[in-house]
Amino acid sequence: MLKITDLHASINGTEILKGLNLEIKAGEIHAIMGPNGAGKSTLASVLAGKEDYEVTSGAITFEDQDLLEMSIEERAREGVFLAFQYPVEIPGVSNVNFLKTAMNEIREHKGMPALSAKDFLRLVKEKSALVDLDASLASRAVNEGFSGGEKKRNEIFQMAMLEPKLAVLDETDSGLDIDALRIVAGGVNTLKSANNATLVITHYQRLLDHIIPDFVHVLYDGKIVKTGGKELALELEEKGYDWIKSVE
Amino acid sequence: MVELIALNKAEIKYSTVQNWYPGDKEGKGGVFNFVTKRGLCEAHAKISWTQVETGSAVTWKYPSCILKGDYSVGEFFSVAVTNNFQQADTGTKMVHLGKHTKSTIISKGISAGHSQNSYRGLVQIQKQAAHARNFSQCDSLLMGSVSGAHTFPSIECKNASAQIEHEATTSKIGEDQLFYCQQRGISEEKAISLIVNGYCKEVLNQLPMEFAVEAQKLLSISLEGSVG
Amino acid sequence: MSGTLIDFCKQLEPTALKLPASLLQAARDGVEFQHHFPTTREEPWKYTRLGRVAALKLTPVKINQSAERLAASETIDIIFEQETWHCAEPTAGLHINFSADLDASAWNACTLQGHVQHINALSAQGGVAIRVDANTKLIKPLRIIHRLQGAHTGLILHHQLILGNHASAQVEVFFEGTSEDSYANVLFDFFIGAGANLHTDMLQQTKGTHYGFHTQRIYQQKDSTVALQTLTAHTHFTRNEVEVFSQEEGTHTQLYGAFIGRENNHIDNHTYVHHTAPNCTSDENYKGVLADKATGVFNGKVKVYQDAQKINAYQSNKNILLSDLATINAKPELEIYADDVKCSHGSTTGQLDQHALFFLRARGISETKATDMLIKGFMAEIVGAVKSSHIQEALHALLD
Ligand SMILES: Nc1ncnc2c1ncn2[C@@H]1O[C@H](COP(=O)(O)OP(=O)(O)OP(=O)(O)O)[C@@H](O)[C@H]1O
Ligand SMILES: [Mg+2]
Repeated sequence: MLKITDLHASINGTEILKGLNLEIKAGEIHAIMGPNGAGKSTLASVLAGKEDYEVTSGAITFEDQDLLEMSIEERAREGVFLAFQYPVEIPGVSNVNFLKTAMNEIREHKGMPALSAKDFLRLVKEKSALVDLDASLASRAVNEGFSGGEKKRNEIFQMAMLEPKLAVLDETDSGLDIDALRIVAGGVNTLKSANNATLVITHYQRLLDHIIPDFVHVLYDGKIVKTGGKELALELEEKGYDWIKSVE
Repeated sequence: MVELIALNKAEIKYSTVQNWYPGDKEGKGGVFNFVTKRGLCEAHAKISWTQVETGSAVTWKYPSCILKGDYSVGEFFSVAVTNNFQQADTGTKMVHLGKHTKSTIISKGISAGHSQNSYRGLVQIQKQAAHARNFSQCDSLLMGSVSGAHTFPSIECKNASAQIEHEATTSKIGEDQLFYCQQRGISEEKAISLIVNGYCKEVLNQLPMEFAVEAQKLLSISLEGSVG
Repeated sequence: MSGTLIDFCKQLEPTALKLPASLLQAARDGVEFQHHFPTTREEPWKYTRLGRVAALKLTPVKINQSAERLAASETIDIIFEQETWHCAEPTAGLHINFSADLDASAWNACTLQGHVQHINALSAQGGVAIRVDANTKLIKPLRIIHRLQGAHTGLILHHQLILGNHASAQVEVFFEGTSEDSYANVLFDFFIGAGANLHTDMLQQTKGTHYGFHTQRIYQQKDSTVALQTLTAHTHFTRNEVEVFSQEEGTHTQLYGAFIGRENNHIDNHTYVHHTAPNCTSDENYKGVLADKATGVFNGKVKVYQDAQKINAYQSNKNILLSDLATINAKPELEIYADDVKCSHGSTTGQLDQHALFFLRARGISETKATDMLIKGFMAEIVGAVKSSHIQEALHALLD
């Protein structure tokens, strides 16, 4: 589904990603761990097409298409979803209006008719229940005045609504209490299928107790320096990153 | 020219949506729109001006309220969008004469293309206007590197029990917000219209329902082609 | 209105400074063209009447060229007192001269705006020209004191401070003494080199029916930092004009001010920040407290020129009126021609927080004491930005 080869990316002239390789197949869950500043969010932003980052060399294919050639919204419409580490507030724009616009643009892209107001609301009800998001939040402005945990749950709610092929979750677990963590993980697991894939960026093993990854990668200094199964996460939790740095 | 007089306990809400011909992309043609609007409030009366200005090549418009009666209230809600070579210079005057008078000013300016957009206002608290209150919020959004956004408020206060608050901000449309919308599959043009409409919500909410829908569409249309 | 500007200048002496001929001519033309003192119909003088100023009968204060030496102290002192000026021995890398010989090359950058600057150009009798060599970091603060006295004096000075690249200096400026029916027009030009750092605190507290006009023009080069605190307390009439020209990238400017008025005081602060270069910040914070029949004016303007992207400009003005006869006129202005900027201003006017006042009194503090405490609290931000211990002490005394 996703293939990243020898990806180099920089921001303001500083190289952050320095030859990153990663392949994700449909039905898989991958986890990326790594110390602060390693480039995890950078990778997520590059996948989503954030313009501040310049891809200097390397390639990304998504479903056999050149992802780097696509605009931000094309990627989204093709099924790349990024759950932001820091979701943005958009004053005055209601969550519902925002999502309806997004859904209908994606549907139009796929040649599907717009959803009726009734169907849309039914979907909102169903999916917000999935992440236990208070229904009143749906009518409030996007993320405005949401607590840290509510913002994260709102991201997963949007993911549930938009049903992406590839979901990239950037530290969706940070700032969540234990119950919320379980709810969010439950949401991700329910949405999992043989046709979609998930890339989880996290610092904590505890999320991976709930979302069981097929692969765990360590991102360090702009490269994936180690890949293993879910045991690797336990090992990292125990030993930290130093042993990997010294191996390098 | 419009004159409003609100007698004791009367309330007037005056809403305008203005979309006269703004001229072409090079700034040729278009209507010159010079307007005088003023209102007088007796005791406990309220006048509320709401305006959405998207048209005309040049607009000068300062709907004002003379808050003569005690406990009278003046409000001014304005959205002014300028694109291409349009010029909008709008604002209000709130003259507080009566005791416990209250005024609220919410002004949202959006400038794109080569346009110039100014807020110009006066809040005047006269000596006898004890316990007068004013709150003003004037925000400007910039969408083109050759457009201008200007804020010229005047505050004159001669009474110590008055409470006046004025805030203004000028900034570019939020790039993070745009990215967030686009990441969810929304096109740039739609995203801008969404964000701008959200930005103007407080004012648009003041409009009667059918007007508000119209106004939202107008905002999107007048900003068409302002990016990329 | 009585007296034209030309008549007004005639009472004063022609300038003792060696001004470029073009500037002198511009000043002459300006005075001639303006003819009368501006009225309140003119925007910059909307809230400040000049009728009393125009009617002043003045005798110019001529300044002796050579300075009396001062003994060394904790500050490098420069004192203007009637026709004499005193000056301490400069330290290494510092040059202090009478401004008749000041660096005219720096002036080529300047233009003259308005009748205050025109009068200054035509009639300045002296001032101090200070130069700090590149990379020199002055350890002792420079202290410039103006001691006003007598009646009907006309004191016109033009100071200049040139900070070399990467130099740094702290300056304290005082206007004090008692003077009746007198006029002062003091212009200070600051040229701040690349990477240089200037901190200036100015306290104006001249007593008597004195009319003080103070102009600060600040020219900033790349990556320089300037902090200017303008503090005015209990003066009969003061007009401050601060103009900042951020000419190159990476400058930071902080303008703080406090105006404390009582009786019939009239204190007017005008600031104008020109952002002509990208990636700069400015931070402005003025606070006013007005009692009795005092009037305060704040007019702050920030202009961001086209192509001056990534400007962060902040402006705040807060005022407290302590009496029903006091007046405040505030005009915070933003004029923006670039799109990638973050600018904001806020202005509030009100009375002291009644809840806080009640709380303090409920704890047994007298109303006057409680009022003083709250005013002190209100001004703390500004007082805290002052580095000069002399000025801090003076302010504490004033606010007590
Ligand atoms: N605009 C920028 N200019 C320069 N450097 C930047 C910029 N944005 C990010 N960086 C740097 O890029 C590096 C990678 O940042 P990134 O956010 O991808 O790290 P991360 O692995 O997600 O860290 P964390 O675990 O803290 O979220 C950091 O060193 C960061 O300081
Ligand atoms: Mg990160």
